[in-house]
Amino acid sequence: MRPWSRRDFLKMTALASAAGLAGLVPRRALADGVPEQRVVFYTSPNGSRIIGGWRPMLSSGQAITSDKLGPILSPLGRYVDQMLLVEGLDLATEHFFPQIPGVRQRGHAARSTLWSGYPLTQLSTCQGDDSMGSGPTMDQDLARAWGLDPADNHIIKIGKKGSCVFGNTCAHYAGLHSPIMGDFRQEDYFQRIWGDQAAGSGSDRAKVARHMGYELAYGRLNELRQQVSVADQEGFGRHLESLERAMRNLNADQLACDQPSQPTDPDDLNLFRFNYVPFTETWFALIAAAIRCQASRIFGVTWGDEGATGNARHLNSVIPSGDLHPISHEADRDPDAHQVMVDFNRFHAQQLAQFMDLLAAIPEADGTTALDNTLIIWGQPMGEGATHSSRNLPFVLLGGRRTRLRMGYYHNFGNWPSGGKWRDHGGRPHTLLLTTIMHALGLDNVDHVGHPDITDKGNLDNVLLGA
Amino acid sequence: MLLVSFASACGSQVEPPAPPVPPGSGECAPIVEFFEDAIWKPFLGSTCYGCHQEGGAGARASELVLSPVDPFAEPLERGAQLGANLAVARRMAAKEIAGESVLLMKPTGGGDHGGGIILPEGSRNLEMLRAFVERVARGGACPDAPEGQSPDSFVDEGDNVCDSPPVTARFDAEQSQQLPTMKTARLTQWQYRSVVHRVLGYYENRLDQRLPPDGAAGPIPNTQDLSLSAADFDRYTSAARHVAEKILEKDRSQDGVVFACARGRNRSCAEAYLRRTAYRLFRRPITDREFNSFINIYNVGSRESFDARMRYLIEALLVYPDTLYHLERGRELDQNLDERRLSRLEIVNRLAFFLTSHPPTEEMLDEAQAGRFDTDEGVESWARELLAQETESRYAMQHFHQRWLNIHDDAYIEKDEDHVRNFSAETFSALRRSAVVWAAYVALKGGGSFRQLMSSASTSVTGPNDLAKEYFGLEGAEPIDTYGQFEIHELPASERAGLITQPAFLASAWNSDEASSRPILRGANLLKDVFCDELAPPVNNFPPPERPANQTAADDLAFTVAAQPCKSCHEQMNPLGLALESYDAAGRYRQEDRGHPIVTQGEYGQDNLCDEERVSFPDSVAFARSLGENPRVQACYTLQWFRYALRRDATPEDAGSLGRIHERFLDSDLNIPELLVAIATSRSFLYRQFAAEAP
Repeated sequence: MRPWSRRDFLKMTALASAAGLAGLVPRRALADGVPEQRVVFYTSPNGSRIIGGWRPMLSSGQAITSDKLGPILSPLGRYVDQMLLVEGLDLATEHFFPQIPGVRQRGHAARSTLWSGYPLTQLSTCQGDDSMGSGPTMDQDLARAWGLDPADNHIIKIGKKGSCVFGNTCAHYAGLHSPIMGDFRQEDYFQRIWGDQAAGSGSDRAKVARHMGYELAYGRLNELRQQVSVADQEGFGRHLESLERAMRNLNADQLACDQPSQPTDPDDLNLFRFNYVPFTETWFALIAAAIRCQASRIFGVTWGDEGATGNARHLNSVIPSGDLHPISHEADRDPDAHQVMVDFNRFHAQQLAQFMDLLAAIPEADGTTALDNTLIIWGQPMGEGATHSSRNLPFVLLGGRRTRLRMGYYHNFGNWPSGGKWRDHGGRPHTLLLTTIMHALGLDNVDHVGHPDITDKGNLDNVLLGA
Repeated sequence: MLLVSFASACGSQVEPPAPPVPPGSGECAPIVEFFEDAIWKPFLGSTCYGCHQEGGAGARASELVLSPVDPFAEPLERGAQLGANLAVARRMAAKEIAGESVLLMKPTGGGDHGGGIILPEGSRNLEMLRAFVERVARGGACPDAPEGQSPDSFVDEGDNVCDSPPVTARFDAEQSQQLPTMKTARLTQWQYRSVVHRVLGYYENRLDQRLPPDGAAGPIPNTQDLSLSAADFDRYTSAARHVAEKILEKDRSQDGVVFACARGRNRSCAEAYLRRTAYRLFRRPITDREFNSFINIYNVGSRESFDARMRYLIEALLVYPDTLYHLERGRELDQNLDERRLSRLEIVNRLAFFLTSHPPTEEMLDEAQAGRFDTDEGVESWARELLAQETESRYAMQHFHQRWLNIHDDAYIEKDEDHVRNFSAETFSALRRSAVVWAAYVALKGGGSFRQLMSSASTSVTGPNDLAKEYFGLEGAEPIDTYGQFEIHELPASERAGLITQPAFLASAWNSDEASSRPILRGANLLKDVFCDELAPPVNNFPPPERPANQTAADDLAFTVAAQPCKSCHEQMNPLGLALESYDAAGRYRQEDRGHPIVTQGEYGQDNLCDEERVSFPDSVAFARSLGENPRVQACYTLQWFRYALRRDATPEDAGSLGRIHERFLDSDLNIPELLVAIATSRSFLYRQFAAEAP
């Protein structure tokens, strides 16, 4: 079976819209008429090209118009009124923890600090240069603040199979040293959300049978737990918790919305780097379908890893093929490599624009669309990949009309690249943006996101409505 | 000293493999190393440092005042910085309130710790901190302390490869054969796939990708230190659904071959299937209570088809703990002892996965129950019989060598046609099969000599359509021997010598990229997996500086040995990798690269990398041959097999067992089957430590 194309999904969404929307409108929204907000964190690898690529031709504070966007962001031109561009922020750990194994030395592992604002520490589960982690990440706090179980957040790794989770692959953490493996197979993701629905008429009996199977395993494991070492008791305890959770989920109501067609993973995820365009499109279509079905309100989506993922061959670029990682290291001194990295970042903007199209086609109970109620935050842990610079990170916020963010503007809080790429350019810690986002989502009691020792706290100026 | 991380500091970009424990966290590692890797890096230098640095809130309120450690500092300076913090930590460890160490009390939330609970009960970090306190404040002993030297008096001289003890230091035949405590391991991905294949009759090469990831001891996968997270559990349930569906498909499409219901697709057929399948899945007979419980699951679908009901049953069997774990409690006779011989069925479970790489067959389980493995002699005679049956033991040989040198299909990286002609994933797969089957042939039929394995110029291929045959240009050539369906062919002795010159090893993503050989990675991989040497991880991770183009590989790498921090490791790694420069990114033999003649002569230290006694070699082939003669490589081979057999890494307690096993290997003139028999009859294999495991 071939992977879904974007066209397939658009067709599916359009057909669903035309067929009468009652079955598709999220139930919780129907209850009180006000749709719930959602957040999608998106992390892309290998750094950006700020100058000559990402930066719009605007002064800080100006309203964005599509003709002022640079080549990277131009695919998002139709959404300028639902776009907020922020630069001049540095990875906060660069400012506040330079003496601890830092992002500068561990450039690839900087991914793990992007949504946490915590310094890097060695992960006990992995070994190697990128075996760094941090945490907990903002998505976890957000879930708790919204009264949700953080374990129900959907963490998705596009194109990264489930090998050991390194700081360079993992952007989301349940806590210190607790990287979240997440979903990396589309079939598993589909199965988890729509599996029982797909099972058809026997699904009730299937649920009962599975419940009995889990109960049987639970009983046996509990019995074994009485006989084993303390260390094993801990491990078996986690297994027991997982069984309890699985049984609870079986008892919960199934999603009552149309399922998308079942995707098929490529035979070999290792070849993702050579076939990432349709694979990425299918993932975003599945996420859009999950949003339509209210499968979760918080999504953490990471693309590949900070390193050996992706090949230039999909980019129709001046360099027809080659690993993007080494190319990214040449981008400061080789114009062709610079162009490849512009094209690569543009690819991500294209994917997000298509994703926004899908969300915009999903109606909400109050007449708005899923896009209005979904804030997409596209972040990168390196401003410039060539030098592993985590100064001047480019942030793109999309959708989110329901938030208190003042969309449609460009802000620059620094003076990049004044003084050189590792020098101070007057940037501010990026955790200010993370805190501002929490406030924009109505969580005013959050005074700070990130490690408590980051002393530069508060909101970014002019980013919130009425601020 | 730390294990190798061979994503080089100086510009390499390969995802390293993933051993599961933090380096230096062995409780008896040198104290500075243990402190840095198990205490300072994971939490004291990050989480605690945040408040307890000079001027910080925590420092104002307590005596724990930490100073910064600059990772870029010269080794001695950095050692001094660490030492200052170690001294503070020692002082706090020794300070007690109501009999409890302050260093333990505070981060667990006691003593009104302003930061609350930093180290939750049961966390690995707390375990490490307890070990630290025990060691520095309460005189905890470390059995591996060098003679005449307290482990705590070790002076960290920096992350220099020359400090690394050779693998032979882990062997001591004079030491008594102690047993370490172990955690219960789950099946590895390979083992799960094998169980599904051999017991349920369904094979899927990519089933691994649906399963939780493995940990690793060196290059050998294991799952001992991995507990099952919610996401992992979801993977098992998802895999179970997938496998059940596929088994039903197979049964439908092949006239009921799976369930074999001679008298109708009904409950009695389901019962027979359950009894025989559970016996092999659980590696023990199913109890009556379990049997009834599983049949109840079948009965839930009483209004559904036989197929639907069997689906429920198979799914439940596949998530049952006895399927997923290697459960070991020791034999009944020894239940009051700390060190117990494993039960009959536990031994056959270990033996089968070790010597066949598959779960035990029904016959093996029956033999075990009949008492075949009650004595060491019984185990030995059975192991010999099994090794003589090439059809079974061949798979373990193949699987081991594939894991040892990372020669598996996942290690393929698509080659760039502009640089590497006529080489595809299919070619790589054929060469992989060729290499591992050849290794099995050498070990089981071709004399069994480790020296042969590391020096013989031959390989295995199959019929006329084998891409490996085409690769080697062996069409029409006469084989020198056969091995099952494979032909054994000689290769030019001036071009090939043993396993590491097999193209699949050289062309894998671990050793070459899309277009070129990767000498740094080749060198690091040899050090790590073939010499079992230990290297500090890169201290930096910065992009390579400008370097001249179109020169030799040695010129390309000159910058890595020009100065610290790269120099100390790279001047040891590079010569080993450059020694294999006679092979390009496809593993093809060549005499020049980019118009320059290839020079592969070099040398390495005999007993450790920096040993003044040097092993010199004039070319790639001589280098490869020298490996089989090197005591460190021979010892490393023993260690890797030990890890494979025991599904865990060797600990200091294993030094006695390892020493005796290796002696037998050496006494047999490096005969590989003898090595396996020695492991299978070792105390480490047949016994297990249960002390301190009581609930």
